[in-house]
Amino acid sequence: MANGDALNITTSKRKKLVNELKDPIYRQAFIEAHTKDTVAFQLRKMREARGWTQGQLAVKAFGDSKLQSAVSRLENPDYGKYSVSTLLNLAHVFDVGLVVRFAPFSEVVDWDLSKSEFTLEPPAFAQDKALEVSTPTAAPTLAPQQTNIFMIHAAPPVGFYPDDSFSVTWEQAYRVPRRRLHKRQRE
Amino acid sequence: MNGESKTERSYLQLKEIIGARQSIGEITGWLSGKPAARAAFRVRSENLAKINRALWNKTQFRKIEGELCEIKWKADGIQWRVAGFDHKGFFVMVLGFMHKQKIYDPPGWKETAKRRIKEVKNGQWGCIEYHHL
Repeated sequence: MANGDALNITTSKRKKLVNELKDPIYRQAFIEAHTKDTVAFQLRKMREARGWTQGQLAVKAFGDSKLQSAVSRLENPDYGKYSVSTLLNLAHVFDVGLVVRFAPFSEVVDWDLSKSEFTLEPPAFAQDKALEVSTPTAAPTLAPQQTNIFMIHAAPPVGFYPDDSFSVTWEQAYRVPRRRLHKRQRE
Repeated sequence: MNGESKTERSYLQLKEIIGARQSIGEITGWLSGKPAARAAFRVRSENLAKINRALWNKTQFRKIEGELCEIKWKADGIQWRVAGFDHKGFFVMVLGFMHKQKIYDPPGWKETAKRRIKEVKNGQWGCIEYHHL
């Protein structure tokens, strides 16, 4: 497929999706589905890629293999009752970033259309080759101008996405004061 | 992406049946007027398309009987389903249905779906690629 054709298809898909989002019921369901589905699918994909069982992940994340059923629930896209602290814990175990913030719909549309098999499985820090070629990005906007929604998904750090629209550095994500960060880096 | 060249592939390509006198496909028609179900189906089916089938689980996709399978999702407090079967590299959707507790709508969904699969194979239904609206 020529680049122009691919661009036309993407533009057409974007128009259709934006048109659908004009319906508030669709908007709400779309965000809910994205939030629940994406995290559940990512967890399963990242766990399987590491060859861990649900019980093994339960030990790593919660310190108890009996909490395998909790991992099973988290991997069920219809569950959706994630706490930020649980997600931070899991991000630490998988050694990936985590983006939790309100965002304009335009960002969610971009994420939806650019989502791929590979973005659903963000690489761990040590395997994240994009870090080697990244350039600093601006801090995420704190007050989106359009309707706010909540986005939550595991994400690789800066430079993974072609336009870098979704990436924040880990110190931005975890809000580590710069002075402390430098101290850590010196250590 | 990620510094490596990887090829994107789809693990779920959707088709839907269309009758000779219909202007839109069966599932497109069924989902019109159901914005919450349509939005959640879009996200669920696109996530399934990006994940190896070996990693799908029963909460997302289930084999019912013979070649009859269902894609499952939840929206608006209702369990939504599309019944279909794998056919020539596509998952052909033959019927949409929903259930809340033990009440299914339409009630005879399984028989209808099985009959339609036979009819698709006999050429009594057309099949078109399914595109999210």
